[in-house]
Amino acid sequence: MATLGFIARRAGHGLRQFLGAVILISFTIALTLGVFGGFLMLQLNVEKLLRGLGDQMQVTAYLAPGLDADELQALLARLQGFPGIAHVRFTSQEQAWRDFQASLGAQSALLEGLPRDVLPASVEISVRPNFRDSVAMEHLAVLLRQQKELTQIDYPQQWVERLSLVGLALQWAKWFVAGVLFLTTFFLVRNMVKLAVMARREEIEVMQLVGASEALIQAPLAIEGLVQGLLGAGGGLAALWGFYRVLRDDVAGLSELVPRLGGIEFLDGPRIALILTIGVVLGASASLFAVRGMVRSWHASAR
Amino acid sequence: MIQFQHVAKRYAPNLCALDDINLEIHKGELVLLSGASGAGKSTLLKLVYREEEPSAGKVFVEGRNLQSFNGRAVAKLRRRVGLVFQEFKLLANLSALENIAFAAEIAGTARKAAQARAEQLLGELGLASRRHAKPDGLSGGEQQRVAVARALVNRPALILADEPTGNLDATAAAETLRLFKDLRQQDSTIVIASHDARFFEEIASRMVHLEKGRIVADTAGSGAVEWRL
Repeated sequence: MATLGFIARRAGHGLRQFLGAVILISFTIALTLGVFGGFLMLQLNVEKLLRGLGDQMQVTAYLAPGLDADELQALLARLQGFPGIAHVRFTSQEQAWRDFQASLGAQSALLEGLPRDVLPASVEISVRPNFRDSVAMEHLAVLLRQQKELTQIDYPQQWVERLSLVGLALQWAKWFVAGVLFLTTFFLVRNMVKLAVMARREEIEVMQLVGASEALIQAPLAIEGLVQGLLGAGGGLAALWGFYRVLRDDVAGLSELVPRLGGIEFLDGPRIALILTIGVVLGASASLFAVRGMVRSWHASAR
Repeated sequence: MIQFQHVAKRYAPNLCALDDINLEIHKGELVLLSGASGAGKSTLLKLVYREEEPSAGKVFVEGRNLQSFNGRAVAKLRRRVGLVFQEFKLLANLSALENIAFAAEIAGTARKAAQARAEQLLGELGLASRRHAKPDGLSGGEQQRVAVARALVNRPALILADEPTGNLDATAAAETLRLFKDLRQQDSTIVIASHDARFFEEIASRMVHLEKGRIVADTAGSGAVEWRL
């Protein structure tokens, strides 16, 4: 307990004594995590947009002529049991005619003279979000084509492939950006901590001479790194919140630009927790690596 | 208490700081290591608190070979050894009281107890009124007394002092001498390295003289300190 108190006081003392370095390190971490948070926010909103598009993506299966009511019910029940299908909706020939007519609007007069059963009855099938990739959709299409009651299967294959690609690209880009950012920041912070530790060389040497263990020397510096990481993460999130507010309130026409978005979203709880955790880990690990290397090299050079 | 067995220390093939040192220091002795600058006095002390490792031979403290010590054991050893340096090695941003309590807290003493012990030592060393002064506000003699108090704060079994009067004027040096005299009366084992043997000879129970890394004279067993440089 006495040791914990000593460590906490040393850490507090170090933070106060080297306030300039603390601000610089926290600012660097804030910058990195602000950019990373911005990327997470972009991903969150793009995914939301894609989900909106995906909800409108349906498979249309055209029915063979002459199906009676029992056969139709049996087919619908069977389709509902297929993996990945959220729900199915039957469209009769009459309903198809009316929908088509409505879609033509003022030019619906063109249809006059045509028989009302010229369009086939169909089933519109909504697919669950996790089955909207190209492989799952193709698999479902094959399954549907095997049903003798269905004559033709249509689905927006290009859209499915594009949505899959965008999702995949975002995932990879996120980790690539994160990797580059974190690695750069780690080395940057580690070098800044090294400078701060150099300024405390005398103190560390005295600690070694009066019998401080390696852990006791490193612990306050690791805690300082942790606090700097937390401050940096908090600062980055605060800056991102400000940026989000400007986008939400002041950038006119953003909602019109992407109507399906229905307003942009800020980071959710788990993503905020992720950024805070990364800040803490980044700050503490960079400090610890810097201190371990330096203290050991001093110890070795003293011999 | 301390034993050197055929100890050598080389910093480079042609730079031999110590050569075939055989020395045994017993509990309660006040040993003065004398010799010119570069004779190997400081290196010999550094071997005792494992700041240095021998190139050959073995160093034992309380029967334990220091070469077998890992980092944790070295830290533990240093908590039981009081170190006094020529350049004091006080932390500039801490007060006299905090500098002393710092060493006690590192040894695991609770803050209040560490401060109480530091207060007590400052009182004993006549520095009670200077307890809140930072090192740069203290005279050389006062700084050395604070350094001695820090060395004593954990009630060490062994005190090692490397040129403790090297940076002091005559008055401050006399103060330091009196301090070590008092410590000797408390039955502590003390090893002082100093180029000025005459200054400490009145309080030393034994004098060991080094030249070019070798022991050339040792008054051990001679009863009184009769040996002169």
